[in-house]
Amino acid sequence: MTPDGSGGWTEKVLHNFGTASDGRYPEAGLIFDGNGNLYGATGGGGTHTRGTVFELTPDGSGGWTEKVLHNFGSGDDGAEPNSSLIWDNAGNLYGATGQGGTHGVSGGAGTVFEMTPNGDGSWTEKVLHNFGSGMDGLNPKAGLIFDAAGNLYGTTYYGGTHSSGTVFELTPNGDGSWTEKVLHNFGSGMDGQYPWAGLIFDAAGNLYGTTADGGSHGRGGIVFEMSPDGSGGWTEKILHNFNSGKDGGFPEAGLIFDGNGNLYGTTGAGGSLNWGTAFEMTPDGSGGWTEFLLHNFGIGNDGRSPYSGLVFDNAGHLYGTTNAGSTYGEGMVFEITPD
Amino acid sequence: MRHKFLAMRPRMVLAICTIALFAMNTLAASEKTVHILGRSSDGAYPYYSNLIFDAAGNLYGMTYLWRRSLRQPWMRDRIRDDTRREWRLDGESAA
Repeated sequence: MTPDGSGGWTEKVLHNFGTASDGRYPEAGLIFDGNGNLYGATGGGGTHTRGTVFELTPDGSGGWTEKVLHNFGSGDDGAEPNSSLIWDNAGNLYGATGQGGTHGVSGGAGTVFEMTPNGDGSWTEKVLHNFGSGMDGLNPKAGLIFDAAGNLYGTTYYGGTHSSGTVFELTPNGDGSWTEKVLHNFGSGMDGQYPWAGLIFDAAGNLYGTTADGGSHGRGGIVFEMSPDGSGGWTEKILHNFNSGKDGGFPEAGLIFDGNGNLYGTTGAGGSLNWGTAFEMTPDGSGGWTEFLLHNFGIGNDGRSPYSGLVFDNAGHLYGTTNAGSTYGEGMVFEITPD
Repeated sequence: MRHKFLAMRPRMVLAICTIALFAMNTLAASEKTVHILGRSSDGAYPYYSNLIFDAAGNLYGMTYLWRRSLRQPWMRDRIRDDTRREWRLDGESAA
C-alpha cells in the first residue's frame, strides 16, 4: 500500500499464494530483514500441505520473488505456523506452529521453532520446544518476543493447569537446547482465558497482552500485565475486563504502546454495533488503567471484526485491518486519526 | 415530601441507571478507509496480519485468500465460521 500523495493509497499485490507447492492461507504478518526482504509464514500449503516459511525479495524491477525456506509437516517439525516471525541478533528466525510436534493428539500440540540460514541460500529448521507434555500449554497462535537476555516469551491458546492457555518463557541452555517455563496459567476464577495474541514488553520489563475470553464478566476477555516478582516468578494483574460488550469484547490482537505509555488494541466483537472496536488504555496514575474507545466498527460500509492489531505511522495515525465488512464483505485497511 | 429522584417513574429511573451503567469512555477520533479488500484480483480476509511500514512509509500485510474466483464453497463456509458468530454478544448473524 503506497501513499499516492493526495491523501489516498494504492494497493499492489506482491505475491499470490497457492500455486503448485507454494504456501497457502497466511494468517499472520510480515517482517523485514535489513536488506528490504520480507519474511512470513503460511498456515497451509507447501510440499506437505502443513504450511511454510517464505521469503519475498524485490527483483529490482518493481516485482517480488518468493522463495519457500521451509515446508512444515515432515515428521515432527511442526505444522500450521500461523504466527508472525521474529529475528534474533544473529539473523535466525523464530516462530510457533499451532499444530504438529511430538506431543498431543489430533495433529499435535504445536511447537516453537528456529530457522537458521546455512550460508548457501538454504535454511535449516529446528524445533526448540514441543508443546503438550504435562501442563506446559497447547496450540500457540501468536508470535514470540525476546527479552534483552535472549529469552523468548509467548502464549498458548489452550493447555496449562486450567486448560485455558498460558504465558511461557523459553530459556537457552547454552548447548543448543531450550527449557520452557510456564509463567502463568490462565483460567483461575475471574481470570482471562484463551490468549490468541502475543506479548509486548514495557521499558521496565513487564509483559502486556490480551485474552480472547474469560474475565470478571464471564466472557469478553481481558487486558493483562505480567510483572516479575523478583524471585523468579511472575504476577498477573488484570488491567481491564471487557464488559457488557459495549466496551469491546473478544480481543484477538496484541497491543502496542505509544510514546506516553498508553496501550492500543482492537476487539473483534463488541462496541456499539457489536462489530468490534479500536481502544486505548491509559494509566490513571494510581496503578489502575482506564479504557477509552477510539472507534466502533460496522457503521454503514465500515469494516467489521478487526482481528489484527494496530500500528502507528510517524504522524501518530493508527492503521489496521478488519477481516469482514466494507463494500465486498471481505475486509478493509483503515486509518484512525485521534482528533 | 418525597425526594425528586424517588418521584420519577420507575421506567425512567431504570433508563437513567442503564445509561449510567453502560456509558462508555470515548476519545474523539476519526476513521478513514484506506483500501477496500475483495475486488476480483485483490486479496480478502486479512485475519491476524498486522501491518508494517517500510522506511519510505509504505504499508505491507497479507490476506488469507486471493482472487474471488478461486474460492471454493468449503472455504467460504470456513471463513463464515471463523467470523466468530458464536462470540457475538447479541445474537446478530455475522457476515
